[in-house]
Amino acid sequence: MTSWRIVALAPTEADGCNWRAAGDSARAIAAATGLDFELLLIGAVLPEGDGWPGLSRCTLARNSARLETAAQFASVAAALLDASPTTLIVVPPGPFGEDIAADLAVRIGGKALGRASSVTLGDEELRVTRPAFGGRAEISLRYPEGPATVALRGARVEEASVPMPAPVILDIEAPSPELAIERTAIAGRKTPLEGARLVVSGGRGLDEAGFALIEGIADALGGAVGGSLPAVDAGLVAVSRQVGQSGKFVTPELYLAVGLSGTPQHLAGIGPATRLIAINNDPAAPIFTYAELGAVADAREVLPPLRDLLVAEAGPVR
Amino acid sequence: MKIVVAVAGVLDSKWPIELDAEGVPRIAADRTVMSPFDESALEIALRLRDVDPANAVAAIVPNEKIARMVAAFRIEDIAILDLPFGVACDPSGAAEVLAGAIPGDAGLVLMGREFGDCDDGAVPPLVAARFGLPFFARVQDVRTGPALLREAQAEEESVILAAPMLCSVTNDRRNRLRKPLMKNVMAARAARFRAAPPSAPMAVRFERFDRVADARRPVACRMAEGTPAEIAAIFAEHLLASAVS
Repeated sequence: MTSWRIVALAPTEADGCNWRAAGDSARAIAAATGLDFELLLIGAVLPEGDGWPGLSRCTLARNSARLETAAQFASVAAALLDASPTTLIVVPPGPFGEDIAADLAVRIGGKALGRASSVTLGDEELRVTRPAFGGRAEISLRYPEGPATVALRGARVEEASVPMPAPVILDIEAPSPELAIERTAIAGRKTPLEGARLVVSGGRGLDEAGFALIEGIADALGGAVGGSLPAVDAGLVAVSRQVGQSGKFVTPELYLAVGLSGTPQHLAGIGPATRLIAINNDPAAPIFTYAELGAVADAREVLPPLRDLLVAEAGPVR
Repeated sequence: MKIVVAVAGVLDSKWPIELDAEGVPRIAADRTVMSPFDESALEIALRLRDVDPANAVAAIVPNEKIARMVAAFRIEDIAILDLPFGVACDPSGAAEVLAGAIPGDAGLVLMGREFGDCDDGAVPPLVAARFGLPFFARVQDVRTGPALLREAQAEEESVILAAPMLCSVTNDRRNRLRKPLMKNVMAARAARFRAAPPSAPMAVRFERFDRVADARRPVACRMAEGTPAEIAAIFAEHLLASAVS
């Protein structure tokens, strides 16, 4: 069989970009075919963390100045990777990682496979399955060769941890950004969705007061607030907190869904191992099919005492 | 400045996904609509035209039905680019064909953050990279400058619209597509459109289509009952017992 080279690629300090998710994804693809993989990190410092079985090499491309755009990261990666037709580059799932993957694919003359639910490496070909039609379907495609870039959603690696190999550190010259991006801090921003152990999410069944209550619940427990696409459309929650097929992919331990019906498009943004609990006034809402605890109730009546109980038990609102 | 909006169109979700004899999805043009992301991209273009009428808006659309919807916003330069499913399902292939249809004098290219039923966000940055344009992703609003704005986790980020660039646009209450005037809707019925360059054959092979009935595993749901206070107590206990604090 073709000997594929698999490289997990990730920025270490970019918002919403989890470098360990790239490693988990690469390990999952490599383990299925008995291959090793490499890790290429781009950032100022090497983050702390264990390695993975099969990780043969760890490289840190240490930049001299903060990299801001996907094109900058892709430029650095393209220069270092020396990609061949049998190279598969795996990025963290999420918008920024996927932007890097697309730009990098063009720079190395390869294919961008997009956001995959599975990747299989074969003899001079690779197969990928991707969601389509808003999560109503999956399509399977066969590519005759690489190089290729991909983001794999939902990969979970449950293996004994191993030490991270001693990194090779390469000092790089940061390429100039192609855009002048002006940044202004937004006051009062709370726990990010990425890495949150609890996500409290609202849908179109809530109003502004309802979202204020779920924010209080999330704050009391150190969780993050999320929302569905219709809630974003209604201006109830920022698009950066949208969970679902076209939003963020989250993998908390517990997901409290309030006023959310549980469409396939929304559920596609929640990791398969995450446990759901749900409050909805529609007893036929599909969300109850996937929830371990549910209540058919008016969220406007349940949320205030729930928030008060959690604040009393878990401490003051943070 | 010439602003080009690339509209992908999606299958209206009220219709089932039909397959042809070879198992490839077949999407009838009269069952397509603009996606929320397409609509947001179009609205951003219209707002930039509102700010400066010298900004000319052109569009690339998938079929005549959507061409007439777009023409109702007084957009006259509209090209129809028919992307067969075998091309649209491959992000790199779709981007290659789309890049070939974008006029070289475009000062700003706007696209929805996802380009059609098969894209998850890869096509816009692919087109930007193929075209050699700076890419600013997931725009939400227009500000004076004019500047394009988006929100990240803890920051608001903006770029002044100056050099040629490509932006993807995401849904936001601030860029909901306006309603066209009825007289313009009537005028659009008589509009004529040109065809964009034909698609090139792609190397990717479409293999299989599967409907997703239940992507997630069903579990037995314990239903909490009682007064709102009693239900709240059950949920509070569950949340606290899950040790997520």
